[in-house]
Amino acid sequence: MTFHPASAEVVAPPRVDPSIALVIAARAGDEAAKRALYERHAPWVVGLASRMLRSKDDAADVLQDVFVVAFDRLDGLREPAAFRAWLTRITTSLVRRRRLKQRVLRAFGLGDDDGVPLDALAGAWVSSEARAELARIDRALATVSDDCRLAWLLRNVEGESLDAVAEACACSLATAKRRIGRADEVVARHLAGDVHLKGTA
Amino acid sequence: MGHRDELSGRFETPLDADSMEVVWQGVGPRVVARRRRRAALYAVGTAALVALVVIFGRRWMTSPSFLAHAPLAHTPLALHDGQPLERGAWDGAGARVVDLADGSRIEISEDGVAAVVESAADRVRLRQSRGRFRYSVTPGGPRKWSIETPRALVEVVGTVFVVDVEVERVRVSVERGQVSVGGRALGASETLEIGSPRHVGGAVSVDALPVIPVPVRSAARPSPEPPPADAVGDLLERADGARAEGRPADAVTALEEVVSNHPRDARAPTAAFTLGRVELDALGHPARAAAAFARAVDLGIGEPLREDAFVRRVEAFARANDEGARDRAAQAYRAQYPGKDARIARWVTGP
Repeated sequence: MTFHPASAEVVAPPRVDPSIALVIAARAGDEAAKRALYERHAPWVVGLASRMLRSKDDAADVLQDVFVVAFDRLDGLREPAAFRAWLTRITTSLVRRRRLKQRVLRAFGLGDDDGVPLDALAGAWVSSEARAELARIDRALATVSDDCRLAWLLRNVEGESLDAVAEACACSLATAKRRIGRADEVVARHLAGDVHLKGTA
Repeated sequence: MGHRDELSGRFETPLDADSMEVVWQGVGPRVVARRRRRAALYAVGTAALVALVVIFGRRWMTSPSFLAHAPLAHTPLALHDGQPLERGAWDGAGARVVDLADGSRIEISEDGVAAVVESAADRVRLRQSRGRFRYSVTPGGPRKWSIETPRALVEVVGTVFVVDVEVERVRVSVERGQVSVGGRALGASETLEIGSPRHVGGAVSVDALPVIPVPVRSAARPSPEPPPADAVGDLLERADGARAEGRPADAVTALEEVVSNHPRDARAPTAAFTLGRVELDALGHPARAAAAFARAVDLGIGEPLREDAFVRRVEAFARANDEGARDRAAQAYRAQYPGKDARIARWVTGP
């Protein structure tokens, strides 16, 4: 039998989430592993928090709270591979709590009504048209509930699956779909200019 | 929407590297502080819980209602300080008060002589030979109290009464509740004197009560005459000793002798009842036990043991798997004690 390298099937090694090893090491008290987990996941945590809370300061507070809770309860995480989903749940929970605090402060005239819009969180490389679109999306999301806004951001910005959105929002899949759909509808109308026209009419 | 792929690429991390580092530096110390705070809260909570359990648990467990009911239903009666009420004689110690864990109390005169014959989960039996004893038995308790005197058996569940034993007579005075004296009910404020035709308090006739020529066993004061032999007393003591030493078959022999040879003795009905208990509980002879309980009733056992005898007869037949006899015994019980089916429900499956 002749060996034909060209016809040999090349099997790629299974992709292993590096977070798994880091979680296991962090559980054992490895500080470097904790640091690595923070560096790997902190950017998207603070990104989601800032887009949801419209405040960089509040997002920084939530970022720290998320990792304090995560490292404190790391022994309770049964499946290391689920670290990111678990972190998302902690983040959404703390974001919700922080939103409640923002509303209470605003009710007493102590909070910032405007906050940082989505277009202000865009990178320098983003074109003015794309930035304008983000501004319209931000205005659209300002008109929906926090739950709808969170579900929409998780789905459309963080790229989470519907299952992951439902889990992060602690709701059923149907509810997650409904929330995203409601926000989609509003965003679509804003992007189509309907709302703007009505608003200027 | 079509935004999903490109929206995520439009945003930059809202915090710069320095800010991210500042946030990270705060994580470790806060985790430590959080764990310390939780440990402190846990310690304080545990200490508070333990303190509450100790304070309220002790108060509750020493309350008469607790001591008189379920938890003690499975343990022998103890003294107020928790020491067991052990079998043995009480004499020569002068006037004294014995406080018991279930809230009951016995006040003993200076010349009082008695012995604890049995202290079990469901029964306390004393043999009072001489002197004036005031018994205050906590009502509703799980134990039946029996006071054996040379001339009568006094039975009670919860009440206050005085038993005064002298050489020639026994006087029972009820302050509250009801007692059974030799199978006869004696109510509140009534007094019965046995061994003399004299009425005290004028409430109850004593003519029909058996007068038993039994010596008063006195440790401190010698009797004026040599006491006659007490065959029944000796047999009962023998039975008690055999039961205490784990020889139920010997106890049965002694008890059967009392029931067969001394059926007119005031203690015979109780002996028959005890015989039934030993046959059923210690020896596993349900048919013989049923016969003994029936004999106790025939001999005129007083309440509340009479009702117990009916109930235990049902139990005995049930354990013997004799359904017909069991149902007849249950019917007899219902006829005597209507509306109390709950006591035999465990043993009777049918209506």
